[in-house]
Amino acid sequence: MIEGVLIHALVCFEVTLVSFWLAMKMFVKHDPGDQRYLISISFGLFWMLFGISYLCISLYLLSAAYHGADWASATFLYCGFSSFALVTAPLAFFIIQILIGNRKISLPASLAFMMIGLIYIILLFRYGVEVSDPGYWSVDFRMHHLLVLMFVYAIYIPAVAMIMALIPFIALKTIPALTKYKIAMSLISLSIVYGFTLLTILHLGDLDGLLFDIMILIGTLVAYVGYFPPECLVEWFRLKDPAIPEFENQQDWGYDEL
Amino acid sequence: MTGEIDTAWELEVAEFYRSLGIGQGPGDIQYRLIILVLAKNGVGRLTKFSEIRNYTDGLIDRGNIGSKMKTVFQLDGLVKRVGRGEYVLTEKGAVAAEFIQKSSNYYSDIKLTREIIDRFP
Repeated sequence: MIEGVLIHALVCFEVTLVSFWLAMKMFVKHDPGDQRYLISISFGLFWMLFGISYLCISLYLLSAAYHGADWASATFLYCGFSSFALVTAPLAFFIIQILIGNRKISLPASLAFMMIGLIYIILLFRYGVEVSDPGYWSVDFRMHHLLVLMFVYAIYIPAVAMIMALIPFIALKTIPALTKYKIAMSLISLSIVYGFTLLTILHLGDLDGLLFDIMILIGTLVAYVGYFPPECLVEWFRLKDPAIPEFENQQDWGYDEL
Repeated sequence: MTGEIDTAWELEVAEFYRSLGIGQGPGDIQYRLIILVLAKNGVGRLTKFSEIRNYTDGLIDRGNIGSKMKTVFQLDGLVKRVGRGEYVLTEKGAVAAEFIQKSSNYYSDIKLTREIIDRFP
């Protein structure tokens, strides 16, 4: 048993829990008749796929911690990458539907990213991932160069470009503080998640793998706090308009008070 | 300015500005339609009163339009009356027309932003 890898597996499992919890809450956030229903579902689906991906990675680490890097742990790794290859599809629907509001554009865009994800999965099984012996904190793996390139150019860069499209809305003065907060937190969380997933795939080192996954855990927590802010944050950021009672007794108004 | 004037759109824009407490200028449908018809023909070109009425009939009383032409447009030098029911837009009037067109663009931006924000879950 390798304690460090077990701690790493625990971090990944926490990412799974937070992702699933956020996904479940997004699924039930709006009624089916609401125009935001499908957008909310797509965002929930993004976190659900991300959670499945991290569930597989935590099982991969758990298996590797006890039995070393064998075929069983490699299977979990393949499942994890397969699930992650598809996360950009719901994200594309989420962002394009918010910005354009036309399903004739957002659905084909989402399907295009799903096709890219499926091609990635086919190539993943075609070229495979080389799994090395476990280190103290994580299990080293080498992904084929073509798969890394495809992840960067077909999944990571388009996703980041779509996320960046939401930036101008933070600067607008005419939108409510709560919406600005949600957009800002979504941008931060998605940037953290995509950025550190890319670094995880590049696999720079033993301890780095754990640190990147801790950052991803922070990213998922930021997303959760962004959509379901606790009362302390609502008060701190003044996200709700203060309830100021209106002065009703108009007879008391004097010219000096006007 | 060229192209047709969409009275339904102008009504929507005027309603938006009125909802902000801006009842004059951008929030006044009479002002909007008159200045846009004059701007459509261009500075120094003849616009007949009947042409303005083509857009305002059914929305605003004829007497109100005539009164607005006299008390606002002629008095403030936005138009010159060159004959019976015949007017030409001045340079000053063109500035007012440009402002009204920009007020439509501003409303479009606000409307688009609101729609995007409404779609945000």
